[in-house]
Amino acid sequence: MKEFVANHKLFSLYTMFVLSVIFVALAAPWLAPMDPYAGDMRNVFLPPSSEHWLGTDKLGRDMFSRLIYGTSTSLFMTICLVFLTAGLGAAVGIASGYFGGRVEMVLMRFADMMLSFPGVVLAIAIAGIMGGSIINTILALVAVSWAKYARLVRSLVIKLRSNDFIVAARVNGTKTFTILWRHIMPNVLPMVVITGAMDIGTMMMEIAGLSFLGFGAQPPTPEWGLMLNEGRQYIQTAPLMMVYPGVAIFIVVSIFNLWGDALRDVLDPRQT
Amino acid sequence: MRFFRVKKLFKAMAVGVCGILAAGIIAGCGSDSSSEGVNNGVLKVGVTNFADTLEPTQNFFGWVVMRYGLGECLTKFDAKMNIQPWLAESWSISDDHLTWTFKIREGVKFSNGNPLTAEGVKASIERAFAKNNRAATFFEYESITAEGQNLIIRTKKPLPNMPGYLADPLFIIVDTKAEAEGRDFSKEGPICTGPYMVKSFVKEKSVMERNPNYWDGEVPFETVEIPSIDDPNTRAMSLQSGEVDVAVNIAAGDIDLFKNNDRFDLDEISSLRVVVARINQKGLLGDAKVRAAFIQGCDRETYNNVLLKGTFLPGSAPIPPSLDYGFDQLKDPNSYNPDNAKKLLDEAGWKDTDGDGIRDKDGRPLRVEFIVYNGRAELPLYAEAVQADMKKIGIDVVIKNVDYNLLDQIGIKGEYDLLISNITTANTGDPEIFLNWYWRTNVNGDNPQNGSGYSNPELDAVFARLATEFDKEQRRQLIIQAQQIIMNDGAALFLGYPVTNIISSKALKGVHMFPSDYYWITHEIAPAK
Amino acid sequence: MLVTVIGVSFLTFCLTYLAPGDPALMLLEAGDTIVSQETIEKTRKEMGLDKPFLVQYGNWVAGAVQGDMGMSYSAKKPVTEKLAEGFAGTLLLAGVTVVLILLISIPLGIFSAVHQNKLADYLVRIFSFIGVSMPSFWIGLILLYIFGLKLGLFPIASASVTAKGIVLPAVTLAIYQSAKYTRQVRTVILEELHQDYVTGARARGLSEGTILWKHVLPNAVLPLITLLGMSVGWLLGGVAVIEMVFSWPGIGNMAVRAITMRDYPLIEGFVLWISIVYMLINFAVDISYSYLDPKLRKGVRA
Repeated sequence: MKEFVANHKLFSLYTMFVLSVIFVALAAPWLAPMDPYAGDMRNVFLPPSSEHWLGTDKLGRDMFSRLIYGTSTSLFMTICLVFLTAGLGAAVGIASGYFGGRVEMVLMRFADMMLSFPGVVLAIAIAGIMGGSIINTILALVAVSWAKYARLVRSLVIKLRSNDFIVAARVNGTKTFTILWRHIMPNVLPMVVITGAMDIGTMMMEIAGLSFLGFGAQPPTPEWGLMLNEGRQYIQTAPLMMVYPGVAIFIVVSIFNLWGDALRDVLDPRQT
Repeated sequence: MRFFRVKKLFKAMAVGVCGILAAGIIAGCGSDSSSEGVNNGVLKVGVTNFADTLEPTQNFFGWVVMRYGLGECLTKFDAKMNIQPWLAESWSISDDHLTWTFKIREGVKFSNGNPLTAEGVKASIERAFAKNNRAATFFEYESITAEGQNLIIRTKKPLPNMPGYLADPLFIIVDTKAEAEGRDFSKEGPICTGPYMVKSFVKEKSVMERNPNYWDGEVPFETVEIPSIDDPNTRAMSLQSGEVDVAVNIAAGDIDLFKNNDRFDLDEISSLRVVVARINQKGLLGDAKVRAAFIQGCDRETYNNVLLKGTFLPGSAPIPPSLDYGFDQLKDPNSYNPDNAKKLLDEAGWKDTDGDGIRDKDGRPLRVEFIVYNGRAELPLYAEAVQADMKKIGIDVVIKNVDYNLLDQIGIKGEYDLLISNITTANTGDPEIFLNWYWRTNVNGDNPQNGSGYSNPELDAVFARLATEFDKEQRRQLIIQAQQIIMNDGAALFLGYPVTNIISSKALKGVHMFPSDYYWITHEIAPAK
Repeated sequence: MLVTVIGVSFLTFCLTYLAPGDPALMLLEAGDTIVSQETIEKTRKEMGLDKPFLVQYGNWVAGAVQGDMGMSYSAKKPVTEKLAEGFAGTLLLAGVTVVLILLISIPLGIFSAVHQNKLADYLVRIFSFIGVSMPSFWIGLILLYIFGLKLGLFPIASASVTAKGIVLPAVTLAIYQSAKYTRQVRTVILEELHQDYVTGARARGLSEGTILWKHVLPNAVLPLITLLGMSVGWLLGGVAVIEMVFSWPGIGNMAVRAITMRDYPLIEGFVLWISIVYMLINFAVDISYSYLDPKLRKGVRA
């Protein structure tokens, strides 16, 4: 452990950052000084004070508490999104890479189609038509992002398939599921994890973007994109309202971007 | 060799860049903004436009036609909501109260030069009836005839407010001859008699030009550009930066920026409007106790005085205090009282059994859907404030944002629990229609606007009397009575009454906001010097 | 490529087909306009809504091929006309942005690669890192606040296409994109700099400048074009949000409105349009390949 930290100083540092973000997200109910939904409507747009560290918003809700809760919302949505995307992508990739044939052809055609199209456009259309909600946003983004993982995993699996140990396992009559689980998965996982980790920042911004457009989280959810949209309406009279959520997004996305790059360097030192 | 290719590539790129820039400059020319435009014959007005076309009979689009200074009616309202002559010079009613005679003004021409005749007015009014069933909710006629410059309307029932009805933008007088000759009003804009006429129109921006045939004096501007800047804050910013010279309905948050300012004039008046949330009686809010609790839970004083900084007056009754219909003598049985609201919900059997903060009954949470639209900045704010207050008493309010165009249908079909709108209460100078539309019993669709399922025979009786009453004081009493019934039933949530505003650069004069909200761009708006 | 266009349009068509609302009614109804049952039935027939799903899709595609994408519900105008209205704005914005991206990223990327691990490189990398970690719409808002509102240099809402109005949206888009692209340029150049032929050239005593201009850059052009093509794809998506922030009259702004208004034909038209544009870009990238790459052109290694 000590040796690992010493060898990967940067990675360890960034991991600490990531863990703090996760801590903030999980401990939001204890960290936030106030209820992010309840406000005193008589006290709107208060300037920062000892009681309200970042002041209050348009309904008199404590801005700091809302930002803290926003960490949970954003992180929860992003993690769901990354897991679903990577999971679906990996499943499709393994299926088409391992079994080949017609399954592969159909799935890969589909993946190519999704890849060769600006995903954000489609995500906006899907989320918009289905109606704005947290779940629909995640589904819309999964629908447009899985293909990258499918392609990646497939190419890895095709390489592995002809490897000696897999051929041997097959000849020995090992069950397909066991081969996939015991031999393919462990070899595929690191790449999927790296790609997923590097995507966290981007995905977080895409979620915020959809919410900003009004197709994601709905009021009164404390979500950064939505809060930015609300802040935008008071750009003249209370410009800080749109600064805070932006800074929050920037900090967290930076942390995940740094961590993703560092993780790649640790797991896959070749690709620098 | 390769280097050569790269050079070629850069060359190609350079050509592309030049092309793009040139296109930009060409496109940019002529529409580049300048705040001195008002002295060069160009007026720019920032509005929020809900109309997709300028066909006056479609939806409520006639309002836009009138606001933009394109269309005019036979009559209009002055600053005190008195009815004044416009395209009609004068009018009279027969002794049996069934025949109205309107004398059409001589010498008025449509923007295409065709003269305005009583015959043409007849065709235009008949067209409105044929195209929009809202027309029949104002009045039903037995016959319309033209005799010389006189237009004679015979009705089946006595209609005390006929001149007021004809001031509604639905009855904008259009040149039906032009339509017969092939002009498509919804594509090319209508032919009317106003000071300006359409040059080009898309929802995002309309450009108008001087009507050379205008009948009522000189038209000050050669061109009027009206960008639709839906976001009120952007509208305020555009006004500050000089991109527009006039802006309508600046939001509460920004209004202080224009008060006591040496660059802008602010004209604000208490309007005839009310922000109301219609309440559907077919859902969970059909229970009178839940409904009463809902209304009592809303702290309307704070919404209007604090959140909206006094740009709205706190609501309680259907008709705003700016109209003399007994606002002060009406009793609000559901004034703000969150403790009583909780008690009422308890009594109605809604209790929070699962501890999630939302009351439930028979495993069903107390959840209602609140439909709002974004066209007016205050509406989402009201909705969110209501949502926050309701959470305090254990009601889960889900806010659903829809486009304005869908609102009308949602209202008619009753697909809501609560439906917010900002409605004018007296678009004919008299609140009868407003009350009638939303709260008279809807029998098989004969009163389509009442999609809420609300029905009270007592109120229907008041409406029946109102329909034939000519005496002004009697009418007033009946309308007060109707309001009290609606309030006692908790038939709707009256959130507030807007103070409307129009803000203009000091380079202009003659910019006024009228209580009726129909007249924004008039021929009286002119350069100050 | 064509498969993509068909597939994506099919997906969108499915989505709008399943979405609630009767298209005939939505086209006809506007507020209180009187619509008789016969008219509705007639319109349904005219629109082919009584036919099975696949036939409807076929008809739509057949129409689209001939440039007829149906009528926009909200504007009561042909979709093609609406798209054309907004297209010029978007194209101009995207074009100016691409130029800005190239002007910023290529010099910065090359500079950074040549001075690898020196101060300049770190500064460029910090710029590009900050750029990719900020949401573009937030950058837009901040620029709007500073340059539009506080300094009053640029218009705040450009309901029409103006030379001044394009600056802020284009810069906003360019910041995010060029941050990304600078990184990619740097990587590509670095990769080339580590190739054997560079070492060889150095051994032959060629100056660094000559190596860079005559050998490294020409080799780097192809991957850079590919990456730029991908950037433009992102641009087409990202442009919608930025157009909204700046009230820029483009198709992205229009699409966002179309979605809130449930104007399905317009949404379908928009998605199809974007996929066609994207296909054309890819096509252009492919063509530039065969034109620029001597390997492909002559079949020999130069």
